Amino acid sequence: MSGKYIVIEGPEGVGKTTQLLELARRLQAAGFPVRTLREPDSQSDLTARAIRQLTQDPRYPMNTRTEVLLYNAARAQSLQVIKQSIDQGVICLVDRNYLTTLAIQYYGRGDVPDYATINTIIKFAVGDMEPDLCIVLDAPAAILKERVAGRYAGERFDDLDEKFLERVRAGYLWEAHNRNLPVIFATKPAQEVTEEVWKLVSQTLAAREPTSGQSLPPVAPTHEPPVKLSATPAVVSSPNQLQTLAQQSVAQSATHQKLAEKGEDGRFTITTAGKAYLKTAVTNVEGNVYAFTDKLTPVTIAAAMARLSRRSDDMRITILDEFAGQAGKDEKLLQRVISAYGDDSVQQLAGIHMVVEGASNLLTKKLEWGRLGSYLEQSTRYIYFDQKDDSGKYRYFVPKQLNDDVKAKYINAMDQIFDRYSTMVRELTSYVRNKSATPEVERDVAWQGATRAQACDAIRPVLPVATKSTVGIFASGQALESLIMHLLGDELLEASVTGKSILAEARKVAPAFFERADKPERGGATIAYRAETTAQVAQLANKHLPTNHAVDSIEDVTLTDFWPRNELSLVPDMLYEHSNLSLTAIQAAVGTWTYEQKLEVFDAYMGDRLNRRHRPGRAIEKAHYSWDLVCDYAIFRDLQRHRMVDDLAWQQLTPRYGYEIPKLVEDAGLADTFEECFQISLKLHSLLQQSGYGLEAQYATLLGHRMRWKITYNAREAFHLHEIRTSPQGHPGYRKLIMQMHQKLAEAHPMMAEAMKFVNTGEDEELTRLAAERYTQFKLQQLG
Amino acid sequence: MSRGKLIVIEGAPETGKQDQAELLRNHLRKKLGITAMYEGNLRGSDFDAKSLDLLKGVTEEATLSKHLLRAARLAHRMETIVSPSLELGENVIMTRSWLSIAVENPLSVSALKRRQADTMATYGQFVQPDLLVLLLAQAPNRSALSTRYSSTGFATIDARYGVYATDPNIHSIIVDARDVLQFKIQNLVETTLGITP
Repeated sequence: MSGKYIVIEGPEGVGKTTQLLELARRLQAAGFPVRTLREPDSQSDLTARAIRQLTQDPRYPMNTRTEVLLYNAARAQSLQVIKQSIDQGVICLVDRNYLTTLAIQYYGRGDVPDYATINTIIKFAVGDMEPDLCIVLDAPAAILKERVAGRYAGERFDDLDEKFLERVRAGYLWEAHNRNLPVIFATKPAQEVTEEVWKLVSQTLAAREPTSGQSLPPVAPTHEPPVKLSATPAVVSSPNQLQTLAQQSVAQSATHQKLAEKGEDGRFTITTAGKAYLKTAVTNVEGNVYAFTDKLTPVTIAAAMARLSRRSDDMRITILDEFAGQAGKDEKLLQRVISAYGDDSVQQLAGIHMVVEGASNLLTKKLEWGRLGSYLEQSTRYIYFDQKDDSGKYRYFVPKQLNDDVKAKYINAMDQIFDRYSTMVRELTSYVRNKSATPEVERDVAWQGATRAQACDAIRPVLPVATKSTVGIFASGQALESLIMHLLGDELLEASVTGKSILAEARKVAPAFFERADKPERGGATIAYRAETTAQVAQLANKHLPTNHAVDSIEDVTLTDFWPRNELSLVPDMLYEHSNLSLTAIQAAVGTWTYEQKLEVFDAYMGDRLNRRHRPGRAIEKAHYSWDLVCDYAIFRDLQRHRMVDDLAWQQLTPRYGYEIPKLVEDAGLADTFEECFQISLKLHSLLQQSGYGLEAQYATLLGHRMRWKITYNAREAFHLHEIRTSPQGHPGYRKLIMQMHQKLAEAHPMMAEAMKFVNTGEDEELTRLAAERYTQFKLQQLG
Repeated sequence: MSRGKLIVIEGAPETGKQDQAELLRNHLRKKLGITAMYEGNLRGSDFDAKSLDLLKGVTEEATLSKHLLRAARLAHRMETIVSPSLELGENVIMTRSWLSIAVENPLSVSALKRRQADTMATYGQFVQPDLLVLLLAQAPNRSALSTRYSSTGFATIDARYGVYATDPNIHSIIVDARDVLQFKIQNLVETTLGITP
């Protein structure tokens, strides 16, 4: 019989040795031949020991590359010793393996970027000597630091700081995640950790030797493992546990007989009580199609749906059999499926409404980053932002991390801007109304709304990015978890703090969906990955890209790329679903057609569109347009919300691209006050930058400051975006931008542009807006 | 100050690498007045000496460890001697680079193992040579050149170096009379350094 190679990994101070010794004790008591070793300096190989001593001797300072190579030189030797022991049937319990090299030298030191090469070196040294089981123990850096304090006095590792330990920890977690290794959180009492380790080891022994008499440790552990029916897949590690599980199973089935009874043929029938229950839970008890009422929680519905793939019954029977009257069963099932099996799709089965109050306009865009969510935020077009809160403060965000002096100047500057905004927005509303050509008798609610929006539109450019807003989010559990991880990994403090708050609140509604979000091996590793890649690319961008501060000539709209070169290339794709030929064969056939034949198909595919909701089929999704854009932040905010786009990215907000003064503001004689706001903003931005608050300086920019961003979308999305964003109720700013974009698109794909027949080029702002407001009022009246 | 150039002269033992490195160094310094150092002349750090001792003590069977140790030693020399000198604008001549380590690795028989071994060695090198000259003996000369090895042993090593002769970044030169060889190397180096004859 061959032995086993079992590794316990994790940062220094996490408790590997303690666990190894206890594991060795238990295995020895069970009659297994056991050997404990430490990698890479296997005690019985002199070369390996000598190499390790060399790496740890402070008299021989060395760089990370040398360390990587040396450790692997020692590793190649020590693995030979392990291999010999395994061949002799010994279970080798090994303290560390190559994860340590990745965690410390690559993630921890971070001064050698060659991840792939380090892995090749490891592969070279390790060969096929992969462990049968590698368990990663994890604990927060602060705890690790406390535990290792004093352990390395005078050695090369005695200067390790907490940040280093945090990087090492994140490295372990990321690697564990990628390699699908079990992670045990080791801040629990050692006994609990031992039980978890013991479970995994017993599983490994059982899996590898199914016919062996030694497949399960025949010795009772020192501490009886607690029975956990729901949180993890059942791992039976003692006869007592097995008995308990059986008893629970019987008790559960007895409870369910009232609503659904199981016949001798194994089929369920719904009882009268069951039907009565279903009548209140679903919209149709008998039919094939039904919806859920609000009797069952979204979590219960999601849990029942999660069972669909594993159970052949009508789902209503599943509900009666497994969930009705079983408080908490849904949560347990979800917890097991999501946490233990990682079934992310289950998280998509329930939606959550979440609201974030008091979010700066910098944060709102981060909240609305994900594609798979629905968002609403307070409009700067319809709401006056001149109101103060209960404490007499305007609605703007103040970063907590600013020092007292800078904070005072920040508040002073913001107040000055808001004072000017408040004066201007009221004055301009009066101006617009006084100048309105609409007869007195027609000055209704719609007219008031339209004139107010016109004033708000013109003055909102002076609102700072720090202006607070409320954002409503509706998202699936999965989308919300993704948002949370994005926020937690964001370098902006406001974002990471909000991420924590969203997580805390979401857990109150559906804890199972969010159990993993901040678990080290899930959220922690993802956050570390994102932070690392972001930092590295930023570093490379700084290193290799020229800096250009000259902004003499800026194209507002650049169509950087589009595909295909000829829009008639899409004809074969349009024909595809109506043919039984391969796409290549259709392309070959269409290639011989005349221009008129292709045009005929193209026109037929576009069809006779009666309104903008009549959009052509998905073949045109193959056509793509990539844009590099410069516009003000307010316009960007409106356009960023489009979900069906790719490659959306924006650059840091800055005053360097300047701003525009709306004609209406000049006409009303408010241009000087308007410009003062930008001067105050510029001064504050400079102050924040000089004080080391480069990221926070963005709060000082105004919604009217222009910024650069890019976006790619397909032709079908272009139909939607170009048509809706040029409609009369749209803001003049983005209407103008989209019209420019549409012009560029028309130069590239004239027939496609022509098919977008609801792109509006109307110019009279007041009339078009008024028409839109009137239509809204009409719809409201229809509703009574 | 512009960065110096890294010039590597490689080849099987006794092809005259060190001799040519010394000749080249003198030519650059004395005749052309260009700063140049021969890395092989410099004593490394304590670590360098210690790792060399360790390498001597490693058994022949421990081929993997030996290879990695050699690469580690190269990495350390590159970091402590070669790279800083280049940054200071000095031209550096080396005679034992990643290529020696790759070729001398006994595992380099299969293509995969050879690629892996090359990866280790180049990881240790990490600063790419501006010029790599490979001295190769022709078949009839092999036995005449070798005094330390059996003719078969020398031929094997020389042939292994020959595998790399097709690499477009490596300039291979057939070993010739000392002054002819010197002339050929000088021409290559002067072109690399941008010196017009």
